[in-house]
Amino acid sequence: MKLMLALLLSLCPLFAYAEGQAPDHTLAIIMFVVFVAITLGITYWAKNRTKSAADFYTAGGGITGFQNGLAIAGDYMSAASFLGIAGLVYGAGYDGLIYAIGFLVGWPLVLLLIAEPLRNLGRYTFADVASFRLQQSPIRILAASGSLITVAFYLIAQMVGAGKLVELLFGLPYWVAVVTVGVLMTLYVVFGGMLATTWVQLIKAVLLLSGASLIAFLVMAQFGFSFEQLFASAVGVHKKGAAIMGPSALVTSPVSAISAISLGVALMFGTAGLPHILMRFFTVRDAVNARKSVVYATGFIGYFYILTFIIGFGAIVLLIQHPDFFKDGALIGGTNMVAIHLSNALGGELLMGFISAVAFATILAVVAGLTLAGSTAICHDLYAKVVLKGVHDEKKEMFASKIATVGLGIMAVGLGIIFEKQNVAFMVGLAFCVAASCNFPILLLSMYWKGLTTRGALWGGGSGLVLALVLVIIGPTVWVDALGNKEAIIPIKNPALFSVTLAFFMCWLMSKTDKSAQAAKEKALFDEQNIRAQTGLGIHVSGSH
Amino acid sequence: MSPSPESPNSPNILEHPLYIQLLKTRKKITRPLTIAGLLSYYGLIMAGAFFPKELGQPLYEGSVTSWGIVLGFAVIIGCLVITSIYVYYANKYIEPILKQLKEQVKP
Repeated sequence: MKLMLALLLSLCPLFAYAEGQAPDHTLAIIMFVVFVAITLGITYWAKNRTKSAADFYTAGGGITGFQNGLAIAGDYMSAASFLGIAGLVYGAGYDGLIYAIGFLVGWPLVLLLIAEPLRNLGRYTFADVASFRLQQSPIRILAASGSLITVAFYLIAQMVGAGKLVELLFGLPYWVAVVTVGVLMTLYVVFGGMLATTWVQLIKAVLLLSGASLIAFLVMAQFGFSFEQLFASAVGVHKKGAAIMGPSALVTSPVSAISAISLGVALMFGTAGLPHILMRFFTVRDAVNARKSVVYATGFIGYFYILTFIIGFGAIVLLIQHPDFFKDGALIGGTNMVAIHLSNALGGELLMGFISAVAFATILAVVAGLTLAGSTAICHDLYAKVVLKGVHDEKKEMFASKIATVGLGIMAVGLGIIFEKQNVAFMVGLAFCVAASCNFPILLLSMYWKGLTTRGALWGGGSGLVLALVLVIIGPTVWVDALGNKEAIIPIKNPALFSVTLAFFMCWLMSKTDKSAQAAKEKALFDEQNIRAQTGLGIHVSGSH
Repeated sequence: MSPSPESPNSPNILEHPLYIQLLKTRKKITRPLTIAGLLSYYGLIMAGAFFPKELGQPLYEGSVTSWGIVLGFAVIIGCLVITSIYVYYANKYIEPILKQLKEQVKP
């Protein structure tokens, strides 16, 4: 009952505004409301199956490899990548493809190095793995900080994106969109935990993949399913002409070459350090299913980026020559709207309504996953393991998880409103950078390098985290774009190349020079840990439900 | 969550020939595939940074499709190939060793 009431309350603003709006938004709103009703129904169903902390964090471990692969892909295919990459391809052609590839190449690495030992060593978070043989409290605090900072940046980007998108798509005021997203994601996570979040993710992934496939199919149909024809038409109308078929001239200076490599480092290693992705590996039974998950996820994600690339090129051909989509020479709503405009050009209001609803559903599902990851870092890593010192108290932990989720929901709405006027596009890159500079090094080294000690991990992860943040602040994105200074102190946009290198170096240096008895003990425990990482012997086998 | 050093199996497993074989078999596949993944991606980025003109060249006389597009798609497909090879190998070579090992050390 409480849930039904919450459902009605959360939808009230939508309905109130829907009536007063131009008719072309109604279709999108109806489809979105149907999505919300279904997902809240799932949340209600999941509520009765989410009784223990294990249910809340990992859906009891009963998700199959295929489902998890699709859910991982769902978590990863955010509205930012769907709308953003299509917009980038539309604006710059080939450079957009390179950017999209960066988001894919982390996955083979996750499969080869991370997925199986992660599943064998941890229960709920990657901090379980990092603190397996290292000191619990300090490592968990560091890992939770890395996770929460990553989640916060990602959340801000998604919340602001949601607000902007909904303003345009549904004609609703910014704050209504942000509050609606905040309320819904909190409901999913508080009542349905990982089970509801996973199913929301699955539905959204199917919707997004079908929507994007349909647009790409309609685009290709116009060019006789020939890439050559599509490219030829695009080169013919784009103002950069044939230059869109190769890397832009901007990449030629040494600084921009370093920037490009540095962005690559952030995307590749950041993927392997995203807390909301890593946590998904604990929802499957064992390492075999964890392995399967990544293969499916890689397939879906690779396919999805190929679609966004086709959509971007299709938009070049089909939008540029149509004045309807432009106002004062600029695309209405900015280049992030190309996928939406293209759906209108190809399938009229019906398709546009569907794609708009899918875009909003995408944001909703991604923020729910992020909130769950944040709340797990707070409750499991900080509260249960540091405050309660690992003394198991199911009731307290469950209660804390709800408080943390509501708190994160309120924080996300607040940040969304504060950052309304800011350009937050860089925040997803920053989230990847922090994940690559703090989470990834300590996770990787704790699993593969016997010599890593608590001191090394703290110095390494801590210095990577701090350097990443400092370099971003004094770099062009914050120093120039956000703070309005004339010239950046450091001309590199994404500092991952330096912060990741520093993190690994400090891990090595401070571990090597650590001659304490504690360090010797930690090294001695490596073999035991490695047996479990490699074989899964002694892991907690979670039941199916 | 902390490991139990007193666990009776661990010293036996460490020396167990199947365990040693497991580590070797795994390394044999993860090393080359990881290197292939890293090289293909950073190779593409380096090519973009140092040979932008060449990447923009058409594939053949009169085509619009460039070498860069083909290489980009090749990296995407390469990711799928790497994951598929690993899973094939893991199922064929790693899982049997693991299964045998688990049976032998069963308490």
